[in-house]
Amino acid sequence: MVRANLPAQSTGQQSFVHKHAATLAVVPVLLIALFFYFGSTIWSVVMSFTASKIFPDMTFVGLRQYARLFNDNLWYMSLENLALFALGSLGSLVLGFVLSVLLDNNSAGEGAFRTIYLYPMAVSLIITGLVWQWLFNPSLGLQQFFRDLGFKDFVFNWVGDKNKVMYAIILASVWQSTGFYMVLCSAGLKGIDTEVWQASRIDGISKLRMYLEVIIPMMKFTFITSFVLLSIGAVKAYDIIVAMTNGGPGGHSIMPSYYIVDMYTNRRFIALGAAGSTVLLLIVAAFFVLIGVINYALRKRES
Amino acid sequence: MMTAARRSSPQKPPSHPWRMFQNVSLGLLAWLIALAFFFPILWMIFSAFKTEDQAFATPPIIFFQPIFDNFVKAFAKYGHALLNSLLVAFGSTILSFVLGLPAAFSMVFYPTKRSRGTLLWFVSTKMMPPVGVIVPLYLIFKDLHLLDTVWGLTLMYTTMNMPLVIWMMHSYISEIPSEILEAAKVDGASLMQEFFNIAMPLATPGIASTALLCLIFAWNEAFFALNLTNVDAAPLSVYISAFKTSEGLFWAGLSAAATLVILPVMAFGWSAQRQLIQGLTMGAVK
Repeated sequence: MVRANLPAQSTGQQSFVHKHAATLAVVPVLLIALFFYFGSTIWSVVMSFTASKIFPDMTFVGLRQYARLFNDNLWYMSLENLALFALGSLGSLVLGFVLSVLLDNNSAGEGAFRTIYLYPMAVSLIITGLVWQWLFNPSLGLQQFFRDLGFKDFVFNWVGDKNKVMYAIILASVWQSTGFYMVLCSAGLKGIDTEVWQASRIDGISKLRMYLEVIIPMMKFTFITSFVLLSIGAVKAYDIIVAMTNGGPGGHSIMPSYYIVDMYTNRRFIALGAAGSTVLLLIVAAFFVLIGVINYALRKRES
Repeated sequence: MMTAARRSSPQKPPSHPWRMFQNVSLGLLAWLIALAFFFPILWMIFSAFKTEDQAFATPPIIFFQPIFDNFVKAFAKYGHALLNSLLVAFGSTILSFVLGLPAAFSMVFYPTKRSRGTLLWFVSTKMMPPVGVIVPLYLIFKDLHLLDTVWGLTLMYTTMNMPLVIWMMHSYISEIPSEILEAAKVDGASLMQEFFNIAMPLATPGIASTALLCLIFAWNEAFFALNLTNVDAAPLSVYISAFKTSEGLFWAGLSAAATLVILPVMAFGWSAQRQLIQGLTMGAVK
């Protein structure tokens, strides 16, 4: 290289130029994120205080849309379902953790098992919904299958049952995401020192007790990460509803994201949808503050 | 953080009957759960190779002569949607790297005092409910004639995957020893040379696993696809969901189309499992 023997002093100057040129690389992505996400979110928040129907309209109406929103029974139902879904999707963390423990103690087929458990994750939520809708179909799916096997009273028509439809959706989404939480927990388990296990063997502590009393507390940060991801997933839940139920029967499987989009597209009420999305944003923010506080407290106690 | 060596609980040899029983039953349990997990996928793939009558038969037919008609039909009917999926997934992945990789590089090697905050700020876009951004973007896309176009969806997915690229590539590039770059700088390397000849080759494994994740996320995304596309630019899975009610009676045909959606991801997953798992855990934990 020709410039190999430049005097050392020029690297300082060169660095200065590099630094500014490099900073320029951040500008386009910054603008995109600012425009597409922050700008748009703020726009929606502003809209929630207006009277916008089909078209954006700047007539300020204060909190009237929020009052209207919280007078809508369907919105309450969607919030209830959100809570239920968030709680239910903890199932994928529990199951994922159990599976990761199983794999950790069963090195024989580890690779194959991991692949199989991960496969549902490769399936998009739309296809997940399609498959499970079919499995829940009373005349084609599992109900008929078990009846053919001789269990004549077997009922598995959850999708058509207003009291069970959310469990059907939760089951499908747990099936889809368990593999991911298994992988997260496996990574957490592998991060635990061999010495911890050796010490437990010397002390003669049973494996079950070890997992319950030592390993689970040691993996708290893995679990916190999982809580964050699970709750983001619950707030964003939309595809699976579209694919499985479209909110039915009778709105019993409606979730906030679905409610808001429905408000925008079918009921043509931008302001009300925007009010809903602002509430959703506040829920996410509150959750993050909570997680942040917990995280901070745990780390402080640790050090 | 990902070490190659396994450091978890080492296997104890099954020393007495109780322990052996424990191991066997645990193994059995793992197999049972695996079967339950794989069943829905397997069933769908099987149905894709059946005739419509066979797919609807009760009790279900387990042994049958596989046919390929459904796939031929699916290609004819859903071919353009499959093409959309491919174009959007690859297009958006490439674009998010073009935009995100230099940004990640710059934030690692030329950090300013706001770099850390900016990084978190990028990631926070992934936490925002997408319903909060859809209306303004819909209106802008309408004005710019981007609705229901492959370009529009590619752009949308680029903004969706870009933060992921920056976040993950930031971690991977951070692992490159800064001495290497310093040495290159002393030798008078230009910024472009630092980026293309030094950082990029060293970050290739990271680029591979990140790109794989981006491809899969774009391939499986549905929210923006459902709301920003209609018929012309709809990716395959969304196209299927739009037709599922009218096609509800053609389960074998739908299964074939759905199999086309999941097969590429499953194939990827099989061949690049290690990279994928590394990417997933890294993206989540870091």
